[in-house]
Parts: sequence; C-alpha cells; structure tokens
Amino acid sequence: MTEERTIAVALAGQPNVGKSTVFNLLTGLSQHVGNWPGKTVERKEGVYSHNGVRVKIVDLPGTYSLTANSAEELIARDHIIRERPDVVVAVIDASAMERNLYLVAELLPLPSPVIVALNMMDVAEQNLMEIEPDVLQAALGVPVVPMIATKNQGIHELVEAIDRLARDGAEYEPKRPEIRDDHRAVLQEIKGLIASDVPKPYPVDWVSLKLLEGDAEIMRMMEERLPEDMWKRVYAILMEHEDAIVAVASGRYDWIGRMTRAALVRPRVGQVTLTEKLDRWATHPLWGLIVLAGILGLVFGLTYSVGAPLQGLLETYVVEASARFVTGALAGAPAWLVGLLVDGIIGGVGTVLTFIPILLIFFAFMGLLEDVGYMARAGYVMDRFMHLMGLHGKSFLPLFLGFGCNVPAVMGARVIESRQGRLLTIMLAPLMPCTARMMILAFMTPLFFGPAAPLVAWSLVGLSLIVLVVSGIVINRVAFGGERSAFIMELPLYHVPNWRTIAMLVWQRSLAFFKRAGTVILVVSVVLWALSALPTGEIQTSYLARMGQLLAPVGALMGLSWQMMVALFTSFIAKENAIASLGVLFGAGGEASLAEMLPTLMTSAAALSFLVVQMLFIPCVATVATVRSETDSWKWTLFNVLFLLVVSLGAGILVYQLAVVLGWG
Amino acid sequence: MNRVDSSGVEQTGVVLVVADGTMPRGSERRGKRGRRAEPQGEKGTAVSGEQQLAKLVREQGRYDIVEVGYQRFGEPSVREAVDKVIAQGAGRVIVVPTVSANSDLKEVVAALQEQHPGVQIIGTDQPLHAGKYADYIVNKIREHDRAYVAWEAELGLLRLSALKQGETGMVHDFEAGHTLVSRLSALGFTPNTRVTMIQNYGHGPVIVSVRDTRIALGRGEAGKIWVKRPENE
Repeated sequence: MTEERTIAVALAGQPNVGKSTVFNLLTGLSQHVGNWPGKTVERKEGVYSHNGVRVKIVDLPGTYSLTANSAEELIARDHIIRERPDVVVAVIDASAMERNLYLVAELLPLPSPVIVALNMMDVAEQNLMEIEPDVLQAALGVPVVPMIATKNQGIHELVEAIDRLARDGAEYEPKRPEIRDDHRAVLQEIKGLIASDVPKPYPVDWVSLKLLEGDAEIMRMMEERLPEDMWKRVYAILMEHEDAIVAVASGRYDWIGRMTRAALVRPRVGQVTLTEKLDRWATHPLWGLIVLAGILGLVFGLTYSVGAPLQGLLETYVVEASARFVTGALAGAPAWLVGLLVDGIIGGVGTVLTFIPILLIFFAFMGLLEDVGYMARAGYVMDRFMHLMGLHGKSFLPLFLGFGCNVPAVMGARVIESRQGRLLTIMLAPLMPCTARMMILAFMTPLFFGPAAPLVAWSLVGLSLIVLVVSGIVINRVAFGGERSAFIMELPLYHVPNWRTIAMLVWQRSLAFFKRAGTVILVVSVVLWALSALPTGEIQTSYLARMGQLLAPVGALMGLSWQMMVALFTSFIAKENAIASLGVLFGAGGEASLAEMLPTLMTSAAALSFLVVQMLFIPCVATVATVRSETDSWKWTLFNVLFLLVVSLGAGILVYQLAVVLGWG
Repeated sequence: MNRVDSSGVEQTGVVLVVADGTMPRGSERRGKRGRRAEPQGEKGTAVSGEQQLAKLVREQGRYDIVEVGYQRFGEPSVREAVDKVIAQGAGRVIVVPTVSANSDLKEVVAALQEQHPGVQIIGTDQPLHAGKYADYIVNKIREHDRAYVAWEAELGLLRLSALKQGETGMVHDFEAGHTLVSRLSALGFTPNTRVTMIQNYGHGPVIVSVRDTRIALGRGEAGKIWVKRPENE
C-alpha cells in the first residue's frame, strides 16, 4: 500500500489577478476559511490530490510587494520563510506583466521554488498583446504556465508543473534580480557585518537586502540580534543610504524590463479601453456620486422587493411553523421545556435566521461589485468625505449596508486594507440605523408625535449619523493618533464577473454567519430567555425584570420605567423584540392594543429618549458576535459595547432632560 | 563622585561638538577675525545657538549632564568639555559632532579615552546627514523665495498633483516619509518612469497611469511626488 506523500504549496499574487479563481479551481469545496493566527486577515486553505500526492494549498493574502508596510505582506513573507512550502505559485496578470513581476522579483530570493502562473491571457489578447511564455520561462529560469482561470484553462498544466517541481527540485535554476551597480558594494558590506547573526530560517542575502531597503521588521530583528557596536555600524550605513529603497525598487524594475522585453513580442497598444470609458462616469466627482447612488438604490430596491417577502415567508413557514410543531409535539411536557424550545431557542435563533435572505442579497452584492471591479471606484468617489472621519473611501460601502443590517456592514469591512481602517469601520458600523431599528421608529413615532412623526424619525436617523461621524473623528484621534494611512489604490480593469467566485464568497460568508447563529446567538437567546422566565415563568416577575428594576434609577434620568429598560435588554437578541417585550410587560394583547396603551404609559419626552437610546444602543447579539469574530479581539468588542452603552445612555439622558425643559414631559 | 545613578546604571554625560565658538567676553585679541558681535542674553551674557541646543538636549530628560565643546576657537575646548562632564559625575561620556563640526572624531575620542581610563568615552557619527540637512534648509528657504517656483518650472519640475489631465511626467523625486516612498516604489513610481495624469479636477483625489496600471492617489500623496516634464514634449 503506497503511502500518500503530502506537499505544501503557497499561492501568492497581487490583488485582482484571479488568484482566488485559481485557488477555488484547485481546491473546490475542500477549502477552509479561518484567520491567520493573531491577525484579522482571512486565511484560506484547501487540498487536492494528484498522482498519489496530497497537495495542501494555502492562499496567501494578495500583496503588491513583500515589505513590512502591512500585515498582509508580513503574513505572506513570514509564511514562506517559516513554513518553507515545497512550491510557491505566483499568479500574475499577463496583461500587466511589468507591475506583476515585481512580486515575483521579491519571491525569487526566498527559499521556496516559484512557479509563475501567467493568468488572464485572454485579457492580454484583448489588449492586442503577444506574449511568449516559453521565452519568459527561459529568461526567468522558472516554470511558466499560461492560464485563463475563468475559463478553466491551464489548471491541469499548473497541477502538473507543481508536481514536477516538487519532485525534481534539482532542475530549478532561477535568474534572480541583482541590485543596481551603485549599491552593490554597500550590500556586500552589510552582508559581511551581519552574516553570523542572522537567525534561521532567514536567508542572509534577503535580510541584507531588506536592511538596505529600510525594512522596519528586519531592522528591529537585527537590532536585537547584533551586538551593540555592530548594530551601530550597520545603522550608520543604513542612515547614510536612507533612500536605497528607491534604488532597490528601480533595480527590480530594470530586471523586469529585461525579462519582459524578450517575452513580450507585442506590447500593450494604448487605446481607449472599456474601462476608461466607464470610468469617465464612474470616477467623475459628480457623476460618480450619482452612479453610486443609483447602484445603492438598486440594491436596496432589490433587497426590499425580494428579500423582505422572503423574510416574511421564512417567518411564517419556518419559524412560526416550527414553534407550532414543537408546542404540539410536546403537549404533555413541562412548561419550562416548551418555553425553552419555543421562546428561547426558536424565538431567538429563528428571528435571526429570518434575516438570511437579506444577508444573502448583501453578500452577493458586495461580492459582485468587488469582482467586477466597481468597489474601488465607489471607494474613490467617497474618499473625499470618508477621510474627514479618518476612514478610507472603501469604508463607505460596508457602512452603507448597515442601513439594511449591521452584520454585513461589519463583515464588509474586510475589503479595507489597513487594520486601523478596518477596526474603525467595524466600531462605527453598529451606529448605522438598521431596518430593525427603523421599524421601531416607524411603530412608535406616530403614537407620540402625530403629524410630526416623519420629521422626528428622520431627525433620529440624522442623529445616528452625526454621532457616527463624531465618534469616528474622536476614536480615530484617540486610538489611532488621528492619522490615516495614505490613500493609494489600484483601479483594476473592469471585467466580467466570475459567478463561481461570487457564489463561493456568499457561501463562505453565510456559513460563517450560520455558525455564529448556531453558537453565540443560541447561547445568548437561551440565557436571555432563562432570565426572563425564571424564577416564576412570568416575565413581569423574572430576574430580567428585577434587573430592570435595579436599573430603574438610571432609567428615571431618561424618563424610562423599568419595563422599558427590560425592553432594551431584550432588544439585544433582535431589535424588534423591544416592541414584543413591551407588549408582554405592559400586559397588552398585541401590537394594536400596545399602540393604544403606550401614549398613556409614558410621556413624549420619555418616548423620545427611549428611541434615542434604541438607535445608539449596543446592537443585536448577531452583530456583536460578528464584531468579535471580525476583530478577533475581546478588547475591541468590549470597547465597542461599552462605548455604545455610554453614548446611548448619555444621549438618552441628555435628550430627556432637554425635552422636559422644553415642556414635553 | 556619583558615577552611578539611582538605578545603578552609570551616569551618562553628553558633549556636543561644535566647530567654532565666539571669543570669550573681554578678550581683546584681534586676530584675522577681529571682534564679532555676540547675541545678548540676560545681563549681557552671550547665549549662543549651541548653548540653546545643549539646554534642549538636557530638557529632553534622559541626559542631565550636557556640555558644549568647541573644536577650533572658543571655550571650552572639546577636551575641557569632557573634563567638565566627568567632573559633574559622569561615568560614561558620549561625544556627538553637530552639523558644523568636523565629524572625524575617532582620533580625538581615542586620545580622550587614554586620558580618562576609568571613564567610558564613546564617539558617535553625525546624527543629521549633511545631505538631508541641506534639503531641509532649501525647503525652508523656498517658502520665502518666490522665484523658486519659477526655477522649478524652468527645470520642468512640478508636483504630480499639478499635472493636468492628459499630461505626462517622469518621476523625479519624492518629498515623503520612508513608508510612502516604499509603497510608491513598489507600485512602479521609480525615477524616470512615465506617469500620465488620467483625471485631475483640481481638488480631491487624482487618477494616474503608471506602468499600465491605473492608480488613484490622494491629493496630498500626489503632491509628494515630483515629476519632470519629458524633454521632447
């Protein structure tokens, strides 16, 4: 019985080169998504088998280079240096070979052998380019595999090439880029000084080059390792050549020029491409905004015409039906069991699950826009406004989704490249007024404000947004020193979306959400149900009620009775629960009778403060659970919760007292 | 003699080396230079730029014992300054050449070490690279020199953010921190690379084309890249 050999492969490439398409083709559904340890960057791995060999592939984050400037680059290079995969496949965009080979120039000095997957050959052809992969292969000294991943072409050849390289590493003879003449001596000098102190598994040549480049991580590493006098000498040399990074980069591009000159028989012809034509509108300061508004309108239109009815159907035929079924099936069972299953589990998890149609639509929308290439344009157009808050233009779209539901807003923050930007976006997403909160607004404002109801409702939405902007500015200044990473963004060519990639994305995001629903949301639903049912089985006398009563003094400052405080607690499961809880707590028969009762039970000022708190309060548990998993940090999740608690209660108190002074009390 | 501070670590003193000082007050020596006017401080004492520098280094907090030493004219000399620092209790002396000083202090430091075997004497290199200092000076000056912009324009130099839509420039230089330069270089903004302005409305971000790639840059970022107009266009 032959034992299956296992080899490890890493997939590298710049953004927008079709790397995920290649990864999906190779791994299919075997892929597993997680996070790189200790980071919030997504890590995908998968397997396939070929020729009796099991191949484990890791998808490295897409990066333009391997500097120390971003977490993604550090992750990519650390993985190759420390894990030493048997093969690194560099996916490059044939229609932008010059820029793409920069990453290859950075990969070749690393210990693992490289295969160049020359993808998007069709795009190159469309641009009237003629490339000769064999010539490139001879020039580079590494296997070059032409591919059109979107059409499944070249995959088999790639698999073969990986297999061959892993078996016969001996034939691998890459031509590595050399540093520009004027810096050769300095590089040698540095190498001489540090050679004996470079820790395994780092290659000495690579470390020397990185030091010359002024790489922060490598400089820190060598500062710790070298004896003090030696480091001082090295540091002095580095300070004298502070601008060497320019020389190093130029050197790499010169090398690239030589490699491509031979292989690129007919270079790109400068013609007005479709992308340029579309961008005249999409990136125009005025028209770009209009186009964006149009696209957003389309999405929300679609969501509410398709998503909302589906939601209703799920509500009726899945949630309510299960509730009835369980009640019926457990006719003789103790009341608490029925309560646990129906109110606790089905009530809690079920409500959240009815949001699935909306989530699916949003995930598909985000996936489509990213794949087509429009996401970058949306970011470009909105950057002017976003940067006032210390946010990147790309934060706009995820935040905007928060109008529908905060969960995809938090998940959507993944498109933002910098960790700071991502964190800030995630912290602010819960302040977006989601549909659930709007429903509460829609229910309560007419009861208290009559004809002025729409005005009040819109003002409250406006308030949320103002608080969001101010919070953004404050958190950015306090937590991140008011700085924002430089705005440099590639605008990739538009291209026909790959439905498979999008489907895979929607599937993975939804699966992640389901898992969360299955665990955190389930636990919290049950706990909250327990608090509301114990010890007597009536919510009015439960622990939850007692908690509400305990907090009554705080509530009094806002004009809220303990019942309203309890309603705030229950809104933690799902915002809409607030209404239902009020109904039960006040003994109303249903929504209609609650509508009649409420104006008699609280003043307008109290209603206003309740709504203000509701808008700014901690989001539903699904969102909090998503914040936790997207930030991968309890610290930030806790900060988010406390921040919102303080802001919402503070605002509630302020508004109430103000309203009383104005005579609405 | 307190050579060790409260945490048991040797007290460190700093000597800032300057090329020339002024003649001590009251000296009637008229050499080739004659008498020079000195800036007046309180009660007629001279407050030189380097004394200010020493004061600021002291105020930074880490080093309490900071003295100025002059290489050529002026008191105290570098030797005397080192003595002063040791007298104040330093067990370790770091000798730093400031911008005006002749920075080859190896021999001086070696000699001083021989003189003071019980004390560790260390010489550093110039903390400020002369080229960078010159750049800094010119940048300061250009704010006041209206003709500077004309000179730049004559050389065909301008900021990328000033390039009009459709125009092309060649990357010339950066006026940016290391991180930004590193990111821009990796994307293809290397010296003499052609950059074409695709979209520039005079405000907000811009879009340029470099090495067949469309890249959006913030206005500030684009302002940090200097380009030169190609000669034959």
